This record gives sequence, structure tokens and C-alpha cells, in this order.
Amino acid sequence: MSIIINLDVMMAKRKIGLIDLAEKIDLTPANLSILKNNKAKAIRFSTLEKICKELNCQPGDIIEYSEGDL
Amino acid sequence: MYKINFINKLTKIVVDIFFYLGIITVVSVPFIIPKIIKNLNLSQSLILPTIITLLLSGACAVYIIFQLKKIFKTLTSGNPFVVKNTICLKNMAIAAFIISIIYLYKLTYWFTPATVIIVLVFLVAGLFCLTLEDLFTQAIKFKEDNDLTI
Repeated sequence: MSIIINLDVMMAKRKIGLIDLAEKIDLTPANLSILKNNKAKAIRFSTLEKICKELNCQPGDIIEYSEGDL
Repeated sequence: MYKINFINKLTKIVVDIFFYLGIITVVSVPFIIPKIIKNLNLSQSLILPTIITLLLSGACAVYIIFQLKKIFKTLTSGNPFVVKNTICLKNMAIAAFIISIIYLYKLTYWFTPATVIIVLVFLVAGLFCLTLEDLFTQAIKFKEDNDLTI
């Protein structure tokens, strides 16, 4: 898929771990890991909202479109 | 997570009873049938074809119940939408069609209206299982989409 999730970059910038973030946005670490590793097929607006709120960023900081299949 | 209610428990018990009773019945067919045919004063030539028919169809019926048991296991474990269940449903459909064919053969040597009904019922049951298989295949796709939506 040509949509890339840059969650790990943003998490590193904010210096927050996967388990901490998962706990703060009320998600299981397993699900957040699926999202972080670009294995997810879709993301709910509610999840995106919570992540943006917690990491204090814009959706564009997490999701990126790149030309061509990866 | 799936919660087991009274109806599921009852169905599971009934299916279990049918499974074990089915095995016992199939095993006892060669011993019981000659006696029944003798008592009913029917032709002795019916014994062998009747035993073969009942043994084969009985084995298929037990196999169907065995597949049903497998499906129930996944249901009670909380995740019924797995590829394994579609295979079970397909096997059930095949077994139902085999029973239908066996009783079609039975019609050739002993025609009874009840046998015609059995043929039709198992034909419909087989088609129903194939439809359910399709339904499960679609449900698995939806579940996968849902699981991967974070």
C-alpha cells in the first residue's frame, strides 16, 4: 500500500513508548503495534484523533502518501 | 467475547448425544437389520442392500455431526469465523450429497415415499451447507477487515 504510517518517527520525537501510548489512547499494544508496523488496513477517525491529541501533532505527521506500491 | 447461553449448551449436548448414539447405531446395523427384516416378513434379498445403504449413509451422517461438533468447538472458543469452518461446511455438504445419492440408489431396489423425502431433504441440506460456506467466507473477509481497522 502506498500509504505509510510514520507513527514510530512521531513517537520517537515525543519520546513515548508503544505500551505507554497504547495505554493513553485506550488501545491494546497489539493493535497499536499493527498500526505502527503498517499492517493495518484502515484507521478510525476516533483513533487518529486520540493519537494526534496525545502526540500533539497533525494527521499528516503520522500518515504519508508515497507514489507507487511499497 | 462469545457468551455461551442455555440454547447453545443444550444444542451442544444434543449434538454430542447424537454423535455417540450415531456411532453405536451404525455399528449395530449389521446385527439389527437381519432381525428386523425377518420380523417384518420382508424378502431376505433386502438384507444385504439395506445393510450397505444404512452403513454408508450412517457413516456420512456421523461424519456430518462430527463436523458440526468441530464448528461448535470454534464457536464456544469465541472465534467461529475461521477458514477451518468453511472447510467443515463444505465437507458437510459433500456428505449430505453422498447420503442423497445413496438413498437415490435405495429407491431402485425399495421404493418408499419416505425415501424420496430423505433424498430431497439431504439435497436441500447440502445446498444449504454450501450457501453457509459462502456466507462464512464473506464473514471471514469482513472480520479480517474489521480486525485490521485500528
